[in-house]
Amino acid sequence: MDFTLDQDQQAIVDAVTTIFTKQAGADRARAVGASGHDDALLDALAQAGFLDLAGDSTIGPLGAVLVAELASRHHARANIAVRALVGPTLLGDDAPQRLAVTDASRPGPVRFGQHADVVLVLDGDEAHVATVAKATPIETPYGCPFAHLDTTRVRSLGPGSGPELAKWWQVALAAEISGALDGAVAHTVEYLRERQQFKKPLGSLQALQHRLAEAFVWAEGARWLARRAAFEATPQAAAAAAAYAAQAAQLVGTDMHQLSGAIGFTTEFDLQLWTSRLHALRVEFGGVTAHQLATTRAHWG
Amino acid sequence: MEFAWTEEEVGYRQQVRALVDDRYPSWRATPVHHSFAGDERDQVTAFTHELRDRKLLTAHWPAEYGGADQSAWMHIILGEELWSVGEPRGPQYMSVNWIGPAIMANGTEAQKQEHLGRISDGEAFWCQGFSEPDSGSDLASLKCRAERDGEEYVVNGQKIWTSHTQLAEWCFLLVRTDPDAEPHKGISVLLVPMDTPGIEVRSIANVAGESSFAEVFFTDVRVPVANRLGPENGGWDIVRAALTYERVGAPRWHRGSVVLDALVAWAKEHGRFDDAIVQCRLGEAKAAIEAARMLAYRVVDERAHKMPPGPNAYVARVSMVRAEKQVAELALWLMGEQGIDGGSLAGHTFYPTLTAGVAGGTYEVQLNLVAGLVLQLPRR
Ligand SMILES: Cc1cc2nc3c(=O)[nH]c(=O)nc-3n(C[C@H](O)[C@H](O)[C@H](O)COP(=O)(O)OP(=O)(O)OC[C@H]3O[C@@H](n4cnc5c(N)ncnc54)[C@H](O)[C@@H]3O)c2cc1C
Repeated sequence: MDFTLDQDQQAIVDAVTTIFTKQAGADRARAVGASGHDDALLDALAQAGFLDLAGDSTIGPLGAVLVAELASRHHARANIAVRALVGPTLLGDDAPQRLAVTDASRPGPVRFGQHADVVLVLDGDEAHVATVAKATPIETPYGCPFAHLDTTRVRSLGPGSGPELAKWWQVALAAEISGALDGAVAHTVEYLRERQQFKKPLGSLQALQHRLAEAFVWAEGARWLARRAAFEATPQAAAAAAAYAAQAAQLVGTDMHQLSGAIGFTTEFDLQLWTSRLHALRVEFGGVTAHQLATTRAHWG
Repeated sequence: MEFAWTEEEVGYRQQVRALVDDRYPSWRATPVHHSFAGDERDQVTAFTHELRDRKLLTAHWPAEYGGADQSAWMHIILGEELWSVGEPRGPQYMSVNWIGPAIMANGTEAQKQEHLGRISDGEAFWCQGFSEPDSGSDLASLKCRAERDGEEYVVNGQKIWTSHTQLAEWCFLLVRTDPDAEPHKGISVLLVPMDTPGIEVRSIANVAGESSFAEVFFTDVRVPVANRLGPENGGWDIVRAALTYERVGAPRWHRGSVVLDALVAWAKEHGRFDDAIVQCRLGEAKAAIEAARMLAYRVVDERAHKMPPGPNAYVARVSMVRAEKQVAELALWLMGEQGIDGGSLAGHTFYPTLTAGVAGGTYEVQLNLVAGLVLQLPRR
């Protein structure tokens, strides 16, 4: 066991941070818009090989999780976590650049559905590769593009591929949530350090300090569970990571607004870029209860 | 970064688990923090000697102090396997967790020879004399006084909530040696034999079940200066480091995990496992336990990398207290009236878990430390 990044992992973090600093971030996210898609960013990541780390035998999904965390931390407007974790593990070298995932048993709109070349459809024990026949985008305040899809199934990935898809989808969600938790908590901490009321920084009030500390502990737990799930690649670890992350997303995604006051609801304040994504992510896959049920079934059958 | 156990670690865990399951076969199904009575010393040492003879008791210590030079991870594996099912080492778990390390880091050669050998022999029984009636969370305000008289200190004062006095032969005692200095700068550590004249122990009735605690009174207790650990008035740094060890010392996450396994067995036996609400709550608790486990492991990893104790221990503590309480609440909720029975799984879990947010530094104090030291929020 070793919690420090090795040389390769550190190099990944450094390189993708450089890319995201230049080509993502709050201003870029606003320019692309919540329903838009950042093709240029996805191209840059693809060219540098950062979307295929999960399939690289020396790096593996743990490297991909780092990319997914940082993408969400930097408000990347592309389905990077899904592409980096689900793509290589389910489709290998055939993974298309623009990938989305959906569950046949739930009719809800698909995140990044209108921007996907291929959709992986979870259908019980099998995962199916499908193309998009028709995409109907919806209006939503939840920070990501969503569309209802008519899909055309191309092929099945075979028996047992369903649970594989579920597992990597959960790891992707956990990693993406953890990046946004990190951003939302750090942003609120910084804001309350500066914001003065009653002639003192609000961040000096213990009532607020405790809530920030608790939020921080949630974010830290989510991060390490997501990383472990990527490493272990078991349904147990994936479900627990997603369950914890989805619950953290609910708490942090609402409490950071409470602690930021009215300015937190403005589009010019960065907080909403993370929280809107958190609320979208936490209901995906059936949401926290689906992840909790999966956790129990994976551990105790 | 990787999260695999080595072959040695897996083998070590198997050996410890096999031993405890063999000697205490019923414990795992109803994990209790077993409180050994004063006349049960032999029962404890029978077990700690077996650990010692198999080189399992202090495997992570340097060979010169009776260890086997293995990694810091052995320490937490030992704790997970033993503490979580009832702690057959009794109070000796503390010796391995923080008393030994404190003596290793700060002791004189003579103190190391005397105490580390006894600990790695499975013969050391300590109690922790920190809290006082007027000094709980504000530990640095402690008043128990030690005045120098030649080559001895004369100790007068009172400690409270002292666990394990029924077996303790030594006390790791915090005393005030300079009443005029700032609170943190006038504290020293004394290593005091509990049979020294002038020490009186009165036990305190409590509902917590986890471990009985006591008041300890000191009246003109004479302690050789040679029994002082570290410099005079330098006790605070020692105790801070010790407490960071202690914060992840009791693997509460692992007990939570063992209790969850037992609850699942109970739910299956009583036809409750197929209830989706039960499954959701089990999943929620399991996720919380695993998060706490990872945050605690991160602190162990820092230790394995020989980094100084840092504030991540407080983060880990917050998450483990929260997770363990979730498990306890689930136990009582699931078992309902059947959990009211003190001998039931819930009965054994609920109160001892409530103390987790108080003992060893309260939950709120941990949050203060996270806010100040990790988030760097402004002082009040
Ligand atoms: C089972 C058990 C075993 C124990 N064993 C030992 C032992 O072996 N040796 C020993 O020395 N001690 C022992 N203790 C004592 C323990 O260390 C103290 O209980 C603990 O430090 C808290 O002190 P207190 O009980 O006086 O609570 P107080 O300090 O009186 O706190 C009461 C409440 O106020 C809150 N509070 C206090 N200060 C702050 C603050 N600054 N900000 C916000 N909230 C605050 C606390 O969080 C708590 O909720 C044990 C306690 C228990 C429950």
